[in-house]
Amino acid sequence: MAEKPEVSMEEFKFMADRAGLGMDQSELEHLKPIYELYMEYTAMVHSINFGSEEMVVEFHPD
Amino acid sequence: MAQADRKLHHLTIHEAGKLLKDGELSPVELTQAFFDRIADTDDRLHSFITLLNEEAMSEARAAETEIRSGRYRGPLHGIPIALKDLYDTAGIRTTSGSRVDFDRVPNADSTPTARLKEAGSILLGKLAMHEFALGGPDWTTPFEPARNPWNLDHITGGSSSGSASAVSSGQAMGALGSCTGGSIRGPASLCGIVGLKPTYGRVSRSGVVTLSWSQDHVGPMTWTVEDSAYMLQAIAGYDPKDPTSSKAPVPDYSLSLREDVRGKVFGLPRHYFFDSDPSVNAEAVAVVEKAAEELEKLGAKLETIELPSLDYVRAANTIIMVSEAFAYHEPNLKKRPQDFGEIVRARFRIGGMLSAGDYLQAQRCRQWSKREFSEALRSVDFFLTPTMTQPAAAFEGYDPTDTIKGRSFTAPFNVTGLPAISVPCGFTESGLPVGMQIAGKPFDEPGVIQAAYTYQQHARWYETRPSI
Repeated sequence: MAEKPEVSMEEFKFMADRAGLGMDQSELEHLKPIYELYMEYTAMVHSINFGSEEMVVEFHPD
Repeated sequence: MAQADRKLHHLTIHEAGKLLKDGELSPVELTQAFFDRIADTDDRLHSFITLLNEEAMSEARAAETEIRSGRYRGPLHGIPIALKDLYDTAGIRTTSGSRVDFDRVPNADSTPTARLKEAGSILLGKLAMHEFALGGPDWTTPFEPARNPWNLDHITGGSSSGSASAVSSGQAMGALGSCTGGSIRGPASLCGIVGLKPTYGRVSRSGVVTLSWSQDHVGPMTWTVEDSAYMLQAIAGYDPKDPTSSKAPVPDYSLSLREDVRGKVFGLPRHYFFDSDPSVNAEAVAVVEKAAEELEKLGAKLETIELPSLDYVRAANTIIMVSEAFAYHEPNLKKRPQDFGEIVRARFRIGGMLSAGDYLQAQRCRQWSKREFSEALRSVDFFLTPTMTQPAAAFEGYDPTDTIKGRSFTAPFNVTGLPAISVPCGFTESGLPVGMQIAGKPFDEPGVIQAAYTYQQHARWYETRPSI
């Protein structure tokens, strides 16, 4: 992983509000650096060109 | 009796089962010995959340009556076991290690609980765990974290922390753990016991509190491979209550307790599991290298293989895990966030902030991995790896975010759903256990068990117990 991904507090708050998490400022400040660790993972899966790769389907209609 | 010179709490299920069957040992005596052991040690280990003294002694008396009257049920009859506290137990509190479920008392048994009861096992109690099967030791939850019997200043690993400490210390003959990214094999490795994660769908998840539907697995944790085989036998098989349960027939796992790996090919993906990396402990890896060489001496073939998707599997496992966990826990997370511990609250909240695109990309990565592993398993019989990147960390200075950084040696087999076992293979210089992981083809638990059993019988690490 080359660069450590970062997110602005404004954007982070927007995402938290959209998820309906209702966090106050101190909770947001606590969570943001942990979220940025996860951003390394999301960046990784978005960096792959999967072509026509399907997603795993666990649903069985029977 | 032949085992008179050994403490009852150090018998294996296999050994105790023979004595019980032959009437040379009473389930009552055996169960009491385990409660004595728990009383002697659990103030230091904190393996148990709930003890079931009265219920267990009553079950033991019933087992004694049944066995004496010739109604012996099998290798688990009269055997004292314990359950991670996310297996529903009818009428018995099931907390998932959380204040959220502090007073939750299920009405019905989980399917694995019910099957272990049917097999005649004696339930000693419910075991400590990382909250909702995620995170690490967290002092903001209501329960004291379990400690490692090999060194009480060190963690057990998790999330099946109490399961590992209880089996390792002789507080229970066997336990069930659950595993979404390595929560059976990880603590088994760090506590010097055997942990078996079966193929996804092999064991019903019905009545087992969910972390991540598509990655959760149920499996045994025991002192020896044969004991895991006996426990798996009892819990495996189709269950209409679990929509992902497999209808594949359940073989007789005891037939796999044979020492033979001649001609079997073990694939070693060295680029990920063995080569130098900042997140990987070289000493522990060297211990596993030596164990692999021992298997080679027994007739196995070792082959270096490449699995490029491994570099992305940890990411997929983590994204899928927290996304599904958020979906499951969303109502409580929004209504009563203060009842979650700090670690899990943070991670579940992050699950709610990831996008559908993140989740779908992670699932596509999973599919890639599944296909790649499947192709590799056409030319090798098993994957052989270290179970963990590190030996058990000390509590002092422990950083819970360490569990979301670096490589994971266990997650690839949750993502792909392949069966995988951790078997003890030695110790570090400082006396901490190291485990070797052997993974196989879908539903090849027999092969995985046989390979691990062969190594175990040759290396005999099971003869060394922690001194607690």
